[in-house]
Parts: sequence; C-alpha cells; structure tokens
Amino acid sequence: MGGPYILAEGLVKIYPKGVVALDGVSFSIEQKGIVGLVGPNGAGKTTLIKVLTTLTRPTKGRAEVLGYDVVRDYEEVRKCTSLVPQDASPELYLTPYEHVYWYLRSRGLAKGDAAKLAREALEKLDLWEVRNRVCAKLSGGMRQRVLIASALAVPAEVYFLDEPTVGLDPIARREVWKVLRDAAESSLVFLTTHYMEEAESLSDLVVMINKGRIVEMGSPQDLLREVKYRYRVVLDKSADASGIRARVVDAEGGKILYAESEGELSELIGELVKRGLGFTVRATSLEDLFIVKVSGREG
Amino acid sequence: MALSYMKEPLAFVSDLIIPLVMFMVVQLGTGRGVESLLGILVAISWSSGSFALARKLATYRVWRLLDMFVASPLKPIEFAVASALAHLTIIVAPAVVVVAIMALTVGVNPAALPFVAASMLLAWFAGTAFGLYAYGKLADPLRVSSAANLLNLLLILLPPVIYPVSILPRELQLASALVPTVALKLVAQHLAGVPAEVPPLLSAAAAAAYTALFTALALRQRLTVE
Repeated sequence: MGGPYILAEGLVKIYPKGVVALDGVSFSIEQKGIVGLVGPNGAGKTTLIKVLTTLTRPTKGRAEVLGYDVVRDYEEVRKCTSLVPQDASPELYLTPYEHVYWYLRSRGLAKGDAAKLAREALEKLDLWEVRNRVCAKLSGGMRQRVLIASALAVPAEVYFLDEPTVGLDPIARREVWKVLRDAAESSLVFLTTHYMEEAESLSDLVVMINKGRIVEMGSPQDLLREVKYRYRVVLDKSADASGIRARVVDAEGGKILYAESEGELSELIGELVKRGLGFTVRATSLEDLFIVKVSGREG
Repeated sequence: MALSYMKEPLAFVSDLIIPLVMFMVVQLGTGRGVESLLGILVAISWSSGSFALARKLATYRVWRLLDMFVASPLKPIEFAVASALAHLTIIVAPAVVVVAIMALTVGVNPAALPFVAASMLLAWFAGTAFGLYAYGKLADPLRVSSAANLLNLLLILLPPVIYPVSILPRELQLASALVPTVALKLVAQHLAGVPAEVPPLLSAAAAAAYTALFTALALRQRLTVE
C-alpha cells in the first residue's frame, strides 16, 4: 500500500463516561524521520498512539498507517509497526536476550534472524553485557531499554514509542536517542515525550497536542521562529511580579517573564534588581512555545 | 513462558507442599492416597491452565506488555494458546514428582500412566478454557489474583479433589461430581482403574459438559483491552 506514513482525519475518541481524549485530530506525516508528540498529561498522546497502533478504535474519524486503515486493515498495520507502550515492563523472569528473542520469534521471525537482530539491538542499547541476567535483577532504566530493544529489533516501517525515555538517566537517554536516530534513517519513529529538550533536539517534526487537539506542528526550527520572545526570566513562585511590564506566565517552577529584545531584557532586569527579586535568565526554546500554547496561564 | 520453576525453584516447593501434606493425611487416615495423588495431578493441570494463565495474562496487561503483543502480527488467540502451552510444560516437573511418590508409596500400574496423562491433558484444556473466560470477564486486571485465590479455594481445596469423595456423606458424593474439578478427578480415577463412588458415566458427562461450556465461553472472550 502507498500513502503517507501516518494520516489522521478528524480523529475523535470518547471513552466511556464521556471522557473526550481526542477531539478532531488531523495531520499527515509524509516522510521518514523522528516525530515528537508533546503535550501535558491527559492531552491525548497515549490515546493517539493507541488508535494508530490498533489498540483502540476511534469513535469518529479515520487514520491510516502506510495507507492501511487502522480499523479495517488492522492486521496489515500490525505487521509493519512496532510499539513500546507507556510505563510497560518486560517479563521479569526472562533475560534481556530471551526477551528480545521471544518477541521477535512471536512476530514470526526465523530463529537465525531473531538471534541476529536480538544481538544487534542489545548491543546498540548497551545491554549485551547483561544479556544473561534476568530482568527482575536489572535497574528500571535497563528494563526500559529491554523493551525498547525488543521493539526496535523488529524490522518495522513505523516505530511507536510512548514516552520511551522516562526513567532513564541522561546518559542512557542520549544512547536511546542515538538508536532512535539510527532507526529513523530508514523508518518513521513516532514518539511521545514530556521532555521538550528531547523533542527539540531529537525530532524532525514536533506535534503539540492539548485537550485532544493539535495546537502546533512543524520542525523545531520553524516552531522556534514562532516564539516571539527571545529571552525568558524565571522568578520564584512567591515573587510579586505585579506592575512589571512584560508578558508573565505562571508555570509550575515559578513565574516566567518574557522579553522580546535585549533592550527590553535590560529594562526588566533593572526593575527586578530594584525590587530585590532573585531570577535566572536564558534564551527561549521550544519549551516556551509549549508553555504559552499548551500549558501556560498568562498572569 | 515455562521458566518460573527453572528461575525460581522455591516456587516448585511452595506449589507442591500443601497438596503433598494433604496426601499424607489422606493416606494415613484412609489408606486412599492414590486418589489424593490423582487429584493432585488433576489439580496442577487445571490450575496451570486456569489460575496461572489468567494471572499471567492479567500481569502482562497491567505491565502493558500485552499491548506490545496485541499490536503485532501475532493474533491474540495465538498468544493465548502459546501461553497456555507454555503453562502445560510447567506441570511436567511436578507431575513427575507426584508420579514418583505414587510409585514409591501406593504403587502405580504403568499401563494406567497414559490414561492418567490423558486425563491431565483434559484437565489442563478445561482449565485453560475456564482461565481465558475468567480473565476476559474481569475488567479490572488487578482483581484477577484475588479472584484466582478464591476460585482455587472453591474449586481445588474445598471440594473432594485432593481428598477422596468417600469422605463426604453419601448424599453429597453424587453431587460433588457436578463440581468441574471433581468431575475431572473422577474421570482420571476411572481411567486409571481406581474405584470411585460416582458412576463413570456421570463424571464423564459432567467433565465433557463443563469442558464444552468453558471452551464456548472462552471463544467469546477477547484478549484486547477494548
């Protein structure tokens, strides 16, 4: 089948009790690479992955993966995709090698191919040294990498990973990024993440979702250009920012003030110093677009 | 995966210790230990298919590992059957131990062993169908473990599976054959040539009816979350 890697048209998913998880999601992904789906908790990221991987049916609308309809042609979709679910755990009685091999064999790969692919995946994810240790005795980060190795060992055209780097230390996270980049050379890697830094530095395309709707979509560079402000100044949550002439956003870590230019930043810093308030300054990033578009409440 | 005893040998001891203590009590008290050992073989076969399989599937569902398999070319029914077959291999080791105890204590007729094995397969098959049905009915996978413990009590420990039917009052002996696990144990008894208080036709009919019923119910279940 031909067609884009992923096509979603007016996807709606309403769970029992009326919870609207997806509210008319439409987008198309035409090229291989890494797509980062970002959004706050409950935004609909996991539901979207579930629909695209045929684990749940949309209430309305339609979606295709590689031209296959996720409802009508679900068996075809399952053949050409591979999934790392969110918060998943490997079988704890198995060793990493057994786990990856078991998953590959269960998907119908021949013994020789499964053994070769399992070894390659474990080596890439730095698990080869612990391949014979049962997963129960591995750290949480290693268990997560076992799942990623199992999914990425599959020769798929589209890989779906739902928050794959949660729980990984910064070094392990970068190792996973490298593996994902390798996979994206020949396939589409569609991942959800909470880490804006991850979405910004890893993704070729970023999709922002909030309350079941797509709010922004584009390359990190294009999205960064949409950020009107060049500088962000973070104050303590308790700091009094009343009367300050700047865009102020209440975020979890504290109040965020935005400045469009160096001149505006100088004025702002002068005002804060005069008031005796502590602050930090840095250049804006994709996270700021995310805060303003998705989770920010302007104060 | 049939690896639990290989990687956790203590589970082997804990799984067998209560049934074997019951066997010793029955053997010392009534001299009908052979019925008890046949009951243990049926019980472990039934349990491996029912409670253990349902628990495993529920665990995989809680761990979201099941999602990886559902979203793959492997059909849910293939995954369930493969898991059930893996559980069948788990019972080989305890079955060998029980048969060895049978040979050493009450004696065993080698000609009866294939029939005993056949009745174990029947119990495993019926248990598997029951387990898949029970798993599918429990919307909350976290309840599977407590439900399995309750059903284990009701279907294995309370009725005369591991202890002889003859211990019950006469009027309850026939009724006990209406419990699926007891019916399967009585079938094993008849096939092994061990006399039983319940007519063979009644226990065979009950076992066949339950197996057909559980199979039909299991086929209506889905492994997927939705």
